Amino acid sequence: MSPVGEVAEWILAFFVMAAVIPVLVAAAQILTVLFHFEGYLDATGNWLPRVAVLIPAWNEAAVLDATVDRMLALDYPPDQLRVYVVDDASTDATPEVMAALCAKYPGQVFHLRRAKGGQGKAHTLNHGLDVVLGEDWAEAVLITDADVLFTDTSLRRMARHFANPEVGAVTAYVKEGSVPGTFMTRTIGFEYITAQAVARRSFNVLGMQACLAGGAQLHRAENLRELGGHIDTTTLAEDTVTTMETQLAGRRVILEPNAVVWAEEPPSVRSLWGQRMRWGRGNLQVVAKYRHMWFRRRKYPRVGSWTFGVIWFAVLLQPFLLIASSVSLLTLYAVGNESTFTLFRAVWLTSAVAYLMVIAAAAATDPQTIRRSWLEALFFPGIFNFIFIWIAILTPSMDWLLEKIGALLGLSFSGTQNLVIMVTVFSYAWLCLAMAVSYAGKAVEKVPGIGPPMAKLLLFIGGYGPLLCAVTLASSVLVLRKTQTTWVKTEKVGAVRIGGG
Amino acid sequence: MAGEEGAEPRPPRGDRREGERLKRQDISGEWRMVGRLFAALLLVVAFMAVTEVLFR
Repeated sequence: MSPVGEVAEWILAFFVMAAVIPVLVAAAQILTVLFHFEGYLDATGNWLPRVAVLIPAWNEAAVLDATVDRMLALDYPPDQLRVYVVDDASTDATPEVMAALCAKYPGQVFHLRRAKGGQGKAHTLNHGLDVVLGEDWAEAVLITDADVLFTDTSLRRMARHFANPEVGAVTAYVKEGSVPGTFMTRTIGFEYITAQAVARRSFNVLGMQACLAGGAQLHRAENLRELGGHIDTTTLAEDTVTTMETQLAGRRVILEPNAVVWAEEPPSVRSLWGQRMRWGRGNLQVVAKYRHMWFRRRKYPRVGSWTFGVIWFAVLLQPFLLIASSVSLLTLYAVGNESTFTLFRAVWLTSAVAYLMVIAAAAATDPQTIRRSWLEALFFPGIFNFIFIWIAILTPSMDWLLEKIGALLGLSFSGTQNLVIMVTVFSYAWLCLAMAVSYAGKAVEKVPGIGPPMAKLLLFIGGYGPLLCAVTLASSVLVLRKTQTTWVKTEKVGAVRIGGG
Repeated sequence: MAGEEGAEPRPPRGDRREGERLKRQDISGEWRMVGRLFAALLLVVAFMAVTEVLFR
């Protein structure tokens, strides 16, 4: 082979293995959780600041009663707690519900109504912040959603971190709590263990956070004032921007994993797609907004560190790395490179180890949720990826497997047979195809009757992980095409209960 | 207000015993979590080692 050909094959081999970068990053984050002892509680005190709870609401009449009642029944001094519901010009019975709540809790519950709504959550919150920060009563502001239910001691557990003057904001562990639970909500429940209970604990250890949970963020009032008293309205990721700004201002952002709140997450593939597209586009806007910050640790401690940058971009670039890996595998196979299967197995063996580590970490950090979502956890990567993972673990090679299957069926497979070639090409292409199949699930769901079960089947085949990669890819396309940024509210039906279903 | 440069945190106003009880509970909970995670990761390593021996 010519030197150019050899170099080209090495480059292709590099791209094949690049697919494991996000997987290795996830595994490394899990290992850091082993250092999440009591250190994050060291500087806490029995600190109970005056808290203004800010609830943005648009047509939330069905859930506001329960949420406000729950909030005022928390294990927190009543005279230290006020609830402000910012009504984004609701057209349902929200004003009537709020009038009753204000009468029931005089001096504790306030109804702030916007004359004109529909501009998005950040604008609604800013209307409330103008009032809350202007009154100078609140020492801390809890930003939450109308459908989020706080457990009894969650606020107290979050507030104790403000005994440390370095802490600017604290977030809680948001758990999926829809009743009755569905395949989709249980899958999100599992995802939240990995994305919150595990990943945010890891960030606690590393000394930074990527994002405060939108439905559970407690800010020091002073922190919000220093950030200009307003939430960012220029991106779709206002929570991430607030998190970044807080840390860039030199304050810490912390996850309090023992402060548990329950939220309702999208029940269908389409509504999940809409929510995650917003997040995906928002994250890309954040990349552009802070383009001066990435990988500049000296100037921007914590969020400018290489650690933070690698974690952030590993997630963002994952779909592109998967496509590059798949295309490189197919190219190497087409030119007859002998190491192709070894590379393929190396990718899947690494993924298999990370997969087992993720499940182990999820089971260790939230055994209660994993008992309910163990099936969704197993099939999180999709059925084919699940098979590839176990083939990588349990078999020395694809040939060995085909030989055994052939022996069982009384057939003889050899490398030149069409079936072997088809299976090999399919296996190498699946890294990409999985995203397409999961996307197809979203596309067919709107078909009346057969749509929802087909969507569930395609999601089961393609996998939830690949669906999230497809969302990242699609949101990148929209950003590149400069499609107009619009706020789409995630559909909620008031199905959340503490403890979940 | 705590958070201002040089300012000392205010004395606690809540039920000190309850706050300390929660803190003790959470510290032991985190240690238990770390213990479970360590054991679970050891299981993963052991499983991969066994499959390597049995299936390679």
